[in-house]
Amino acid sequence: MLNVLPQRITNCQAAGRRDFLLRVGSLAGVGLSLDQLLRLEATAAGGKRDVERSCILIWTRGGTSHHDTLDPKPDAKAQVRGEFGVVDTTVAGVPFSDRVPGFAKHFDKFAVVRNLNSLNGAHQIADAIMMSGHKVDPTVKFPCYGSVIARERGHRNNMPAFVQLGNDVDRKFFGGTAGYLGIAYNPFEIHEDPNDEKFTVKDLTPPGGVNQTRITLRREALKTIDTFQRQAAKQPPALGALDDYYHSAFRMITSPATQRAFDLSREPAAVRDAYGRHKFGQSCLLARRLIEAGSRFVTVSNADWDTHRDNFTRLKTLLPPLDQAFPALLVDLEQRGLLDKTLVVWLTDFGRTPTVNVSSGRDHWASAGIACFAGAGVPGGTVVGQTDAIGGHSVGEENYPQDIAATVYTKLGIPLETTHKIGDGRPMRLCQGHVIKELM
Amino acid sequence: MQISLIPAVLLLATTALSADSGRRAGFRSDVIPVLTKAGCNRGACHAAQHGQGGFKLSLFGFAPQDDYRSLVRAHRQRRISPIAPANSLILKKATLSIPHAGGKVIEPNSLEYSILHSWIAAGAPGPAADAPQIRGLSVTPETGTYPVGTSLELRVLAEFDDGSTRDVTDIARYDSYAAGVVAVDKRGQLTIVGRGQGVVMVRFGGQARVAHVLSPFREPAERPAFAPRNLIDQHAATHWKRLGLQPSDLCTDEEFVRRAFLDCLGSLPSPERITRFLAAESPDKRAELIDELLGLTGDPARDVHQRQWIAYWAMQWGDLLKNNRKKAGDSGMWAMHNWIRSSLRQNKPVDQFVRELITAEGSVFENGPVNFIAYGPRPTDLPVVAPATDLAETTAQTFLGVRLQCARCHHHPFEVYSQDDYYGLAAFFTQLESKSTTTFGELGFDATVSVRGTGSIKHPRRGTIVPPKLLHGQTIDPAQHNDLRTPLADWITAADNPWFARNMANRVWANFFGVGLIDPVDDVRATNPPSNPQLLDALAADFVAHRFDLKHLMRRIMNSRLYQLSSLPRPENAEQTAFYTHYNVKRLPAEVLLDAIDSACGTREKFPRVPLGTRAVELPDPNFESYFLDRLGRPQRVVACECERTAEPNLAQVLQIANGEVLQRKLSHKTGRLAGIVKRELTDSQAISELYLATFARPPTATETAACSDIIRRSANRRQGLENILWALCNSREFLFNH
Repeated sequence: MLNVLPQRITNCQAAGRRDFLLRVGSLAGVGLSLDQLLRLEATAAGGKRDVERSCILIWTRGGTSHHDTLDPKPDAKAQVRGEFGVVDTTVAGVPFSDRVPGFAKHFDKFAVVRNLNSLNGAHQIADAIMMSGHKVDPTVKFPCYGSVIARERGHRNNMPAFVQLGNDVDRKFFGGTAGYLGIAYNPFEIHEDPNDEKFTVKDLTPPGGVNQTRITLRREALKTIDTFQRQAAKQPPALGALDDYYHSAFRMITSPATQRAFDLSREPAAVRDAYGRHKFGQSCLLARRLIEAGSRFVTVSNADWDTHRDNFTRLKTLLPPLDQAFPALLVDLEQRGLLDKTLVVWLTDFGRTPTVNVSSGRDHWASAGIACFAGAGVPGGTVVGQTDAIGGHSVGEENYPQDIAATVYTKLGIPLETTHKIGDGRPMRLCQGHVIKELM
Repeated sequence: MQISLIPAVLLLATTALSADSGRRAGFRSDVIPVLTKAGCNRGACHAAQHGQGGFKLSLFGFAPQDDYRSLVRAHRQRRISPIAPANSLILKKATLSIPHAGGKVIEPNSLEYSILHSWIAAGAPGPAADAPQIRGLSVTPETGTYPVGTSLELRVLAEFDDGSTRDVTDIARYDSYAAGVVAVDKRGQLTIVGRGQGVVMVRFGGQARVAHVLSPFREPAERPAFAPRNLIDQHAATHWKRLGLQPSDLCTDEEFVRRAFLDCLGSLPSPERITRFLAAESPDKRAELIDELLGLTGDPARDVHQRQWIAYWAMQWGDLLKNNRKKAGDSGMWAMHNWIRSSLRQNKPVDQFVRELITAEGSVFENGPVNFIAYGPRPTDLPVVAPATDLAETTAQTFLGVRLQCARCHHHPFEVYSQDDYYGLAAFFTQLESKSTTTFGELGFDATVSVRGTGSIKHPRRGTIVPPKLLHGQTIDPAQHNDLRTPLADWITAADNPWFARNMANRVWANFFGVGLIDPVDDVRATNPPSNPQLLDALAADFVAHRFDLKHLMRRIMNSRLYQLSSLPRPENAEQTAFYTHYNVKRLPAEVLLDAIDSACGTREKFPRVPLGTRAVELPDPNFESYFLDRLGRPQRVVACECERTAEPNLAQVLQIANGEVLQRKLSHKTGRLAGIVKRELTDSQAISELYLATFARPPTATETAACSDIIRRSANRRQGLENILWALCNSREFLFNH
C-alpha cells in the first residue's frame, strides 16, 4: 500500500476565531475546547451513546420556500408575504405557515435553523454542497454525510449502512455520493416506490423465479464449484476478501430480519396511515424500519420543489405529504424510544426569493433558507437565528453548509478532525465548520 | 529530575551549534526545521487553510517570511518572550504545559526545545536575506542490504549554495515508507523490522532525499530454478536473487489462454478456441497465440482479434484521457474516441500519439485530439481552450506520471518541484485560442483551436511572468517558436526523456501484471521508487529501441516467463505482490466482467442509444446508463488519476452479482447458451463441460462433473439446474478474477 504521509494524525482541533474566543471566554479554565465539551456531552451518561446514533436525512430537491413553510413574514407586504397565512406553534411568538400545521403542532420535537446561508444558488451544486458541507471542487470529490458514517462505522445486523430512498439526489456534481472515500461507501439505492403494492428491493430481494430453497442450493453449488475456496490457505489475500463479502451478502439475502426490515406490510395499517399513503410517507416509514433494523444513515429524497411558477398552487400539493410524514416520523421515533438515538435532518437546495415573481413563483435565493434538526438531543422548539423583515438575509450570525456538516457529524460522534487520505495521497480533513451550538 | 536535565541539554545544543563554525540558531536553518519536525506546519495542523486556533503557518515552512510574522510579530508578539524565553507561548503550548489542542509535540528537555529556546533568547532573529540557500541533501548510507534486526544510523548533510555543508542529522525529519520493513526514529536511527525493500524519506529545508534499504527474505546464495527467456526475466531473476526469493511454477495452458485473452483483449476465449489451443502440439503455441491476439501473424485468417484489441485498448486510453461527453460534448467525445480507435488500428507509435495530443489544433469535431486541449465546462457550452494550469497538470500526470498539483499552491512537500516548475510548464499552453465556427451548423457547438502566439502566465505570489520551462530542464525562449507546444512535445517524447518511456511502459506493464513497477503508475516520486529499477529501465529502453511500438511492448511482456507464472504463490510469497514471483490475480474490470457474463450466458446487453451487440468495453464514455457497471466500479472519467477505476470488491457489488436482476435475466434468457444446450439435447456431462469452458476456460474434472450433475438432479427441473450451475460458475472467484 502506498503510504504518503505518516499514519498518526495528532489531535488538531477545529478552532477558528469564533471558537477561540468562546474558549477563552468560558472554557479556558477547564482547558477544554468547545469541540471537546460537545463530545463529552455526547458521550456522557450513555457511555458510547453517540456511536449508536443513526440519522435520517429528508432531502426536498429543488429548494423549498422558507417563506411559505417555517419562516413566514406575515407582516410584510403581499408580494413578500405570499398567499398563505400563519398558524401558531407550540412556541409563543413563533408562527409557521398555515400550510404546515403538522410542523406547528409538533414544534416541541424539533429545531428550525432560519439563518442558513447556502452559499450557492444553483441546483446540482446544491446537492453536493448541502450533503457534504464542502464547496464543489473539480479536483476533489467530497463525500456526503451518509458515506462518511458508513465508512467510519461499517454495517451492522446484516443491514446496508447507508441507504438512499428515491432517485431525487442530483449526481451531476456527485452530490450524495462517497466521493474520495470510494464506491464501497456509496448509498444502497432503492428507487422503487414503497407505497406500491408490489414494492421489492433490487439486489436484496431475490430476483423473480428465485426462492430461498434455490438460494440455498445455489450457495451449495458455489461452495462445490469454487475451487479457489477449497485451496483458500494457499491463495493470495485478494481472493479471501471477496469471500468475506459473499458471506455478508448471503446473510443479508437470507436473513429473515433483513428481509423483514424492507417489508412494509408488517406495519399496522394505523401506522402506515399516520405517515400517509404516499411515496414520501411510506419512504419515511421505511427509513424508520431500516434504522431500527441496523442501518446507520437513510436519505429520503423527494422532488419537484423548484417552484419558479405557481409557487402557491404547487405547494398546496407538495406540502401536505411532508407536513404529515415529518411530524409522524418524529412522533413514531419518540414512541419507540428511538428519537434520542436518531438524528432527523431536513435539508433543501436553498431558500427562495422574498418577492413573488410575475408567474406567482419564487426563484432561487441563497442568502436565507431553512434547515430542520430533531432527535439526538436537539432541543425542541428551538429557533436558530432570524432573518430580516422580508426574509432576505440573516440578522446577526449566519450558519453555512459546513456548519450543518459539523453539527451532523458531532451529533453522530464523528470527530471533525477526522482525516482521510484521498486518491493522490493528500490528507483531507472531514469538516472545517462550526457546530451550531443552539442545537446541542 | 527533568528540571536538572534542561541545562545539560541546553549546554549540549549550544555546543552543537557553536561547534558548527560558531553559528547561531537561524530562523530558516533551524527554527523552521524544528517546526517541520514537530509536525506544526502540516496541512492538518497550523498549515490548514485558516490555521488552527488563530495561529497559521505555511505548509512545511515554504514561506519563511509569513511564518516569521505569524510566530513573532502577530498578536503583539504574544507567542514569544525574549526576556523569559521559557515563558514563550509557543514553547508552553508545544510542551503542553498549558492546554494545546495538538497535544505535546516537543519534549521539554529535547534538542528541539533548546533550539527554539536559544533562538528566542537571542532575540528571535528573522530570516536573513543573505543567509546561504540550501542546495541539496546527502544521506549516508543511501542504499544497503541488511538482515532483520539490524540497527544503523543515517547521517544527513545539507549543502548550501556558498559551498558550505552542515550536519543536520539531528533536526532533519524522517518518515519510513515501508513500515513493515524499516522503522526510523526522530534522530535518524533505522531498525530493520521485516523483509523486503523500502525507503526512508529525509526532509530538511524544503529538500527531500531517500535512503533505500533491502532486507533479503532468505540467503541470497540460493539460486532460483528459473530459466530467463527475455530481458524481463533476466532482470526479475537478478532481483529475486538479491532478495532471496523463488518464483512459482509456470501456469497451465488452460490458465494461460484465459489470462492472455483477458489481459490483451478484455474478452474471454470461446470454448472452440480453448479446445483448439489445448489440443495444439506446437512447442511455441503460447507465442503463436500471443501473435494472433496482437494481430502480428501476417495471416488474415489468424489475425481475427483486431476489433477486440482496439476496443479494449481504446477503453484504456479513453479512461486515461478522460474522454467524456460531459466535457467534450457528444461530437467531441466521438471525435476523440474515433481518433483513438484509428490510432490503435494503425498501431501508431505512442510518441506520435502523444505528440498529436499535446500539439493538437483545428476543429473539435474533425480532429479528435483537439478535445484534449479544449472542452466546455458543461456539454452544452462551446468548447474553449482549457486553463493552462489544467493542461500542465494533466500532461505531467498522464504522460510523465508526475503529479504536479501540489506545486500549484505551494512547494511540493516531498519533491523538488516548486511553483516555478508548475507555472513554467503551464506557460507552454498559454499562447492558444479557440473560436467558435459554424462548419457544423449554428447550433453545432463546434470550435477550433489555433495558436495565437502571445500570452503568458504569472507567478501567483510574486506576480511576475514565468517563462516556459521544461521540468528539471531548460527555459524556452517563446520568440524562437511558432507554437510553444512543439518544443514541449519534442522534449516529452524524446528517447532520453527520463519519465516518458518509463511511464508509458509501466502503464502497459501494470495492466498485465496488476501492479506497476512504479505503483501507483502515475505517482513517480523519489519516495515511491520502482520496485525493480533495472527492469523498468530495460523495459523502457526496449520500448524506445522499438520506436514506441505498443504491440511490440505487449508481445515482449506476454512472452516473458514472468508473465506466464502461476497465480498460486509459494507459501512464503503469499503476502507480497511487488516482486512478481507469481501472477497477481485481478478482479475483472466492470466492463470486462459484464461482457464476460454475456459471453458465458450467450446473451447481449442492450445499452441505450447504441446498437444491440455493442459490448461494454466498446462504449466510448461512461454516460451509457448501467446500474451494473456503476456498481462494479466503472470510472466516471472525471479526475486524471488511475485511482478512479476500482476493482476493490465491496458488498454492493457482491449483492449485485449474486442476487441482482442482471445475471438472473441472462441465465433465464430464452435464446442464450442454456437454451441452446437444452435445444441441442446435450447430456449433463456435455453441458457441464461447455459451461466450464465458457467461464473458467478449462474442462471440468471428473469430481466437478459429478458434483454438478448432482446439483442439477436436485434442482426443481433441468433448466433450473443448469441455471444454478452457471450462476455458481459466474459467482466463483475462478470466474470473477483473472488468474
